[in-house]
Amino acid sequence: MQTSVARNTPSEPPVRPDGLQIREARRFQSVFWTVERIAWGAFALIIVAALAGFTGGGGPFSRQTLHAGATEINAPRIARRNADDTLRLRFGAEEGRHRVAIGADMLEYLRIEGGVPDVHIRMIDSAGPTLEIDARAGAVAHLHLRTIRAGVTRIALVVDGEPAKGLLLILP
Amino acid sequence: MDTVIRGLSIYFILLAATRLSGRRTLAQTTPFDLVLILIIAETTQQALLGDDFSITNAVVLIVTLFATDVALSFVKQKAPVAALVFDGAPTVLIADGSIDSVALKRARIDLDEILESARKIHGLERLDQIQHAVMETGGEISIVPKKHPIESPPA
Repeated sequence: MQTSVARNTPSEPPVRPDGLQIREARRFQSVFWTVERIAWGAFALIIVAALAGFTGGGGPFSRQTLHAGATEINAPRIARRNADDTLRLRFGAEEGRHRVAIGADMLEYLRIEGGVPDVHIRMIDSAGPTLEIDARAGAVAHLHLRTIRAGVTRIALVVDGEPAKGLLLILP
Repeated sequence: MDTVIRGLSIYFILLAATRLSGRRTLAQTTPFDLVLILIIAETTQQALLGDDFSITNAVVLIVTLFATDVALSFVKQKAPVAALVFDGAPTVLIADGSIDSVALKRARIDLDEILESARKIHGLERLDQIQHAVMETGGEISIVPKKHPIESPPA
């Protein structure tokens, strides 16, 4: 009895001249091999970008230096969500109690979890909280940050009445 | 919501990276593959779970991953192009006894690997005993021996 299996139906792979029944899709495979090699280039670029700091987590481009009068602020430029970071303030002015006002917008994206030396919140208003830090001239204070949301935010600080502005990109 | 987005993101990123890296197979693990699997598993675990180690989070994540897998299998069934993109296609490396050196080079396979498969599966000794060799979508090499294998040359 003859079998009723139809040859070369759409679901059946074609039979090649050499007898091999296979759906090879060599044209697609050729294109894919090229895409693969482009992707390897992209992998290399991602690694270079990461080493340079464009993906946050350290690297020369991941931080920025801002100035608020005599105070130098070293802040993150690119950070990652749910990661710890540090904001460093080098006070160039005279010894004493320094007031650091932090923009409220910034706190939508990160929170301040403490500092060295201890920071005291002096007051809070619609513009954001104002911290007080006791420091000598040239001393460096560290604020411990924790990013909580991905996006772009403005770093807006006012140190002893002098403003400093920068942008912070928080990657997901 | 976060868990589902995390799950989907990591699933597709891992899928894309694995496909684009052109890894031949994860079944035949060399020491390099084993190291890679261990590191990727550890890295993705952190990215998938975040700081939330609750059972709820784990359940939502597991369901998301399984559902994605099932959904993709339907997509692949309905759209053959999707199957090609996600799974790839078999590549003929030796056709009717003749070696396709372009395919070997681009698939990064050498003749030693073909001979290894030929020895393991069919106990073949030489390349001229192979009719067809195909790299399957899973990455393994399947061998079709010649009907009447050429005898070993006299010593």
